[in-house]
Formats: sequence, C-alpha cells, structure tokens
Amino acid sequence: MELAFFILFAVSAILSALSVILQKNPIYSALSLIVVIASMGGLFLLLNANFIAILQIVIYAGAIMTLFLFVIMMVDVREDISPSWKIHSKGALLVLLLIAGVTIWAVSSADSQIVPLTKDFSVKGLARQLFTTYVFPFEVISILIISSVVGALYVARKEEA
Amino acid sequence: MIQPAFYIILSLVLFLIGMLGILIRRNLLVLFMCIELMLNSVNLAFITFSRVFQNLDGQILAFFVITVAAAEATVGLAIILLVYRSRKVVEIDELKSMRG
Amino acid sequence: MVELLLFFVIIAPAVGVLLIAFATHRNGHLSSLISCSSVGVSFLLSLYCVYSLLQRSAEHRIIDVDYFSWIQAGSFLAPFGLHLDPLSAVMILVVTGVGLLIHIYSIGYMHGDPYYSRYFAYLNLFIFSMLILVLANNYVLLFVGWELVGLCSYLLIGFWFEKKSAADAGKKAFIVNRIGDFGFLIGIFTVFAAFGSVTFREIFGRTSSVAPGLITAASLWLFCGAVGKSAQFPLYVWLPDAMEGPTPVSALIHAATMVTAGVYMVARSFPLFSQSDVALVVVLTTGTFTAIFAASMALAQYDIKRVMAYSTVSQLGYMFMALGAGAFSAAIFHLMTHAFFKALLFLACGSVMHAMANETDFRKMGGLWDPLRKTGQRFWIGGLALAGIFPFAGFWSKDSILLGAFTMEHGRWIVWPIGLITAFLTAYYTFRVIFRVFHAEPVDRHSVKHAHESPQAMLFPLTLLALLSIVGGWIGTPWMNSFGHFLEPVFGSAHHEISMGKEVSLMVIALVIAAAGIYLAYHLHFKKPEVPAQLLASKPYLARIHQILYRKYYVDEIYHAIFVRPILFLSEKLLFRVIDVNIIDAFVNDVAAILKSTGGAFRRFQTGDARAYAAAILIGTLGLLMYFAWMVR
Repeated sequence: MELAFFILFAVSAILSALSVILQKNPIYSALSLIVVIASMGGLFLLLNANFIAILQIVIYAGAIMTLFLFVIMMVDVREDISPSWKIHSKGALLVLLLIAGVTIWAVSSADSQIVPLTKDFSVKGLARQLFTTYVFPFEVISILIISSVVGALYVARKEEA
Repeated sequence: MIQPAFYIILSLVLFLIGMLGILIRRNLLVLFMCIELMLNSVNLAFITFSRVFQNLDGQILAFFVITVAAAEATVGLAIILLVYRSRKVVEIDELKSMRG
Repeated sequence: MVELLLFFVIIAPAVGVLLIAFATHRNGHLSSLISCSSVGVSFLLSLYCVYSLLQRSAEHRIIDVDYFSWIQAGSFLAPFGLHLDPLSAVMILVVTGVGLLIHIYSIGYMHGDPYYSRYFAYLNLFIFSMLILVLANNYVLLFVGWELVGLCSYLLIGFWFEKKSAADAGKKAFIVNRIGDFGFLIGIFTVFAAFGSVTFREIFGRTSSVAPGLITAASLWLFCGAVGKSAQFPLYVWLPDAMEGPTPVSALIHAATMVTAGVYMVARSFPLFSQSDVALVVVLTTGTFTAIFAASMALAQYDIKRVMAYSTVSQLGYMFMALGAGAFSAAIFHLMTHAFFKALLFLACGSVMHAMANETDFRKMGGLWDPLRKTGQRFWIGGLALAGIFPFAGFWSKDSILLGAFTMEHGRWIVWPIGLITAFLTAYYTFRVIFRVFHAEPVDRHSVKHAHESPQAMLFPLTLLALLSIVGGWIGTPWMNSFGHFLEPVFGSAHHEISMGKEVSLMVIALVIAAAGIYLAYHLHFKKPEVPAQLLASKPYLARIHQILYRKYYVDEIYHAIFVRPILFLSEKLLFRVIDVNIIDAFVNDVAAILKSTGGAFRRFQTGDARAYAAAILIGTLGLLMYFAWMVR
C-alpha cells in the first residue's frame, strides 16, 4: 500500500521536475514546480513528517511560488527564450553521471531499514525539540526573515524619478 | 517494503534534474526555480534520514531550510526585478560584467 | 697629563678636517689657516710629549695607554690605544714637522685652485691618519691608520679628478695598495692566532714562546703590506703614477711620510722580524733589488717629478735593505733624513714648475739658475743630501746603512756592492736633473725669461728643509750616535765589530763613488751636453737599453697583460654577459613572466558567465562527494 503511494508521488515528482526544466514558458515551469512541491509534501507524509509536510504545502507552494508567479507576471518575459543546450562542456553531463554513480554506490552499501516508529514524531515532539534544543537558531531565523523583508523592500523600491 | 535507498535515490534524481536545469536554462526565474528544486530534494533527504534514525533533528533542519528558502526567494526575486529594470531582459547571459 | 696631550696630538688634525668640511669650506683662507694651525698644534704637542719622554730615563721611555675599548669580541680585544716610545717619537716629529712645512708651502702653491678648501681638509685628514698609524699600540688600530692613509692617498692623487690620468692614478694607487693590504690582514690574523692578542705589549714580550714557523709566517705576511704601501717590487707601480697629484702631496705622502709607513711597521715589529732569519732575508732581498731596479729606471726619465718618484722607491729600498741587514736604527735614521731632503726636492720641483707654468719635462728647461737662484740653491742642497755627500744629512744616514750591509754575516759582498752602485746611480740621476734644469743652455728662452721666483710662503719651508738637510744627519754620526742611542730601547744596541779605521775607509769609498756620479752628470749634461744624444744615436745597443729603462722595463704593460686584461675580459664576458644578464636577470625576469602567465591562465576562469561558475561548483561537489564516499567505505 505504501509502495503504491510512493511510486505515485515519486513519478509525479520526477515528471514535474523534468517539466520545470524543459518548458519554454516560465509560467508552466512555475506551475510544474508547484506540482513537485505537492508531491514532496506527500512523500513527507509517508515518512511521518506531518508538520513538515503541511509546512511545505503552505509555505513553499502557498507563499514562495505565489511570489514567483507574481514576479514572472511583472517581468516581461518573451517566450522564445529556449533552453540552451550548450552546456558548459559536455563534461558537465559526465560529472552529473558520476555524481549519480557515486551516490548510488554509497547508498547501496547501506543496510538500514525503515523500522516502526518508537519516538514521538508528532507536532508536539517537534515543537518540544524546536523550543528547547534549537531555540537559538529559531530566534536567529526570525531575525533573518525580518532582514530579508526589509532588504527586499529596500532593494526593489520605486526609483525616485 | 520501501527501502530508505529509494528515497535517497529519488532525492538524488531530483537534485540532478535541478542541476541540469541550471546548466541549461538562461531565464533567471527558471534558474531560480531550479535552485528551489534542489533545495527540496535536499529536504527529502533530511526527512528520510530523520525517519530512518528516528531523530527529529532532520525535520528541524528541513524546517529551517524551508524558512531560509523563503527569505532567499524574497531577496532574490527583488534583485531579479532590479535586473529587469536595468537591462530589460532577465537572461543570465546579460550578467557578465564581472568578466576578467 | 702626557697621556691626554698625546690624544690631542691625534685629535687636532681631526678637528681641523671637521671644521673645514662643515664650516669653512667656502672660505679658502680660513680653511688653510685652520689646517695649518691644527697641524701646528699637533707639532707643538708632539714636541712636548717627546720632551717629557726625554725627561725619563732610557728604560722608562714608554708611554702606552688605552683610551677606550674599541673592539671586543670574546677573547679578542682591540683597544683604541696609543704607544709613545723613541721610535714613534721620531715618527710623530717627522710627520707633524714636515707636514706643517708642507701645509705652509701649499698655501702658496695651491693658490687659486677652485678646490682649495677640500685640499686642506684632505691634508689634515692625512696627518690624522698617519698619526694614528704611528702611534697605535696594536695592529688593528695601526691597520685603521694604514687604510686611512691609503684613502687619503687616493683622494689626494686624484685631487684633480676631472683629469682622467689623475683619476686613474688614484685608482691604481688604491688598488695596488689593497693587494698588499690583503697580505697585511692575513699577517694580523696570523699574529692573533699565534699570540692570542694584537696589542704590542702583549705580543712583543712573548716571541720566544711561539713556534718560529708562525713568527716567520706572520712576518712575511705583514711584510706584504709593507711592499704595497712602501712601493717595493713588485707593488711599486703606483708611485710614479701618483705624481699626477699636486706636488706638495707628492712631497708629503710619497716621499716623507705615507710610503715610510711600511718601514715603520717593520721596524715596529722588530721583535717579530728579528726572530726570523727567513723574513729578514726576504726583506733584504726585496729592498736591495728594488733599490737598484728603481734607480736604473730613474736614469732615463725626463719628467723631474718622475725621477724623484723612482728615487723615492729606490731610497725606500735602501731602508728595507737596512732592516733586512739588522740595522734597524739605520733604517729609521735614513727615513728621517730622507723625509727632509726628499720633501725639499719635491717642493723645489714644485717651485720650478710654478715658475715654468707647470712644465715638468726638463728637456724644455735650462738656464734657470739666474731667475730662480734661491730655488736652485735649495735644490742643490737637497741633491747633495740625496747623493750622500759629506757633511749633508744623507751622507750620514746612507753611510750607516752601508755599514750595516757591510757588517752582515752573510751576503755582504752582494748587498754592499749593490748599495754602492745604487749610490752612484742616485748621484748621477739627481744631478742630471739639476744640471739640465738650472745650468744647461736654455731650450725655451721665452719661458726662462718669464720665470719668476716663488713667493715667500713657498720659499720659507724650502729654507727650513734645506737647513734640516744639512744638519739633520749630525745626530747620527758614528762618533756621537745620539740618534742610535735614543732608539736603543726599541732595537737593542747595534753591534758593529768593526774598527774605526775600516769605518772611515768605507765612508770615503762611498763619498768617492757619489762624487763620481756627480762628475759624470756634470760631464754629460753641462760640459758636453751633446754627448748623450750622440751616444744614443751611434750605438744602437745603448739606445735599446735606454728605451727599456725609459719604458720602465715594460712592467706596467706586463701587469696590464697578465692581470688587468684577463680580469676585464672575465668581468665583461663572463660575469656580466653570462651570469648577470643571462642567469640572474633571466631568473628575475622569468619569475615575473611566470607570475604573469599564471595570472593570465587563471584569468580565463573568470568568464563572468554564471553558468560556467555553476559547472565549476558541480565539479567541486563531485570531488567532495567522492572524498566522503571514500572516507566512509
């Protein structure tokens, strides 16, 4: 049963990802990315990461991609910007394959399994960790977000004519 | 039974697709989206390991990654707007004034 | 008290130099005044110091005082210390006394020269250096004075440095000197290695406790320095060229004082040399050979200063001959009298040159007796003294040398005859000059008419030196040898097992030979002046000999071919072309070129294209991944 869901989400993620990089129209790319994000959300659910899954949908798909779509629409995009297959040296392709090979080799030698959960993977557990062990990064993150908001506002402000 | 290896390899594939996209596409926005794709794939890996080793640290880290991605997207898109304003196109080939 | 004053003997000329250099160099009159006064002060202080020395009894006539520690490194100590004993007493009196007279003479001679002040500064510097040399109480300080006088010689020979021959002569003097100084330094090192000290009082008492071979080695190396400084064969070639300098300089440095530094140094090292028969033989041979060798060259020179220069080399040879024969006080005696009459002769030459618009070739002179009577008289006195005629100073000193040669144990029948022959030649070439300059028919009537006597500033020193050339020898007669007695604490008593009758006959023989030389000059250059030219024309072998002598045995040319040309060739072709240009410059340029090309290569990474950077990051990621994979395998 789980396997079926896994295959569903995995295939949809891969196909949408390919669509992201291959579409000519950036709007289509953005929408494909949203599908990818949603698939990832599903995968997270399969992995008992409930809160993160919701977070993924709400923040990533809901906020970030909306931002993307706004900017795409503001920017005057011509549709004829096609992918340039002139990748910097075909060697980059080779490098990608090498990365794949190395990783697969590394992974295949591992022998861990997904065993039934014993720890508390609920929101409560996550919150407990977040506000005790990781409270400091949590606070820093909030500063980071504020500074990025201020920065973005300042950088992209309207020019005084 | 779903092996953790499946998830890792899926993460790898998404990562490589994102990398390929960076090498191929010239539109800045699509580039940026490929970066987000790579971030997502890394998140998947984190969550997987968190589940395998039954340790919440992976989820926490994924939490932070999402947050930072949001902040980064904000600032990055603002910069892309500026680039559009000055050069009228958002192609990466326009940004080669650092050529040495 | 004396110690303090002794220090000021040296300091006075130093103060003079500083004053002239920093304060009065624009004002020539003031400069010469300061210069002469400082030497005058030095002379008076020297008189006082010697006087107080004489107050003591003979065994206590040593004042040795260290003023401060100059160099101290472990067990090596070279103090700044002065040593006054009869030997250095003679030297400081000669240096400051004759020096003072020459300073006064220079006021007149250098009048009108654009660099008047510089000249007097250099003269003072020289007196300072020479005093350090003769008063030092250790070899290192002596060497300081030694080098300084070499420097002053360079500065003063090349005084008119805009003239190329003068600049070259200065260089030649310094370089040839340096060759001797190299040996001198090795000698000082040997002395230190043998005795563990360089101060005289620590060395001279302990010569018996050191291996004889070391003493011989040290003496020979020290003698090298003397060969250079005192212009003995083979390092004499700089002295004739040094005549490019102003005539008072020739008188002071190259007749009376600097060139005698070698003689002084060997005399000072009496405890060392007297222990080594080998060293004494070397000194004797060098001196004897140089004496006759230089005299032979003087026969054929036409430049009056050159004749005097070779004469100086020859007379220095006499002094070394005396040292080598063991007659140390005779050598110093001759040093003193030679200072008097040679300085007189040089200054008188300057007087003649002053009257003849700086002409030095006597073939253009003649008939100067009437216009330059006073100069001529003094020249005659100097000439008689040099030739060794009774009762002038040179007679007594040369005689004591010949006596020392005659009473040697071995080799007296080689050295003594050579000494006599050289005396004959000396008399001949000296009076050849005198007759040609003053008494022969004038060659250039026009200049003779315009010749005028020198001013009083120049004549007065001449008069004084003439006086000294007459009476200066009377303190060293065989019957009342106060000079020799004075020097006894330094050299020990001279042992002459020779009867008074033999001694007198030796003196008569020398006198006759000298007189014969004068008569030959009289005959060939006054009575029948056309004879020399006739002889040279008719007898080709005579002309050939004359040519060789005139060209100074081609020694300069030989040195040039053996030493100078190869070094120049080596420097230019090898050191410059190969090493400097091709290796060192190439190396430096290559470093720059490598940096440039490396930079150029790295520049190609900066394409400005973000995707290329991304690709590079990818490759780096791969590398990192592979590393981690390998780590966890």
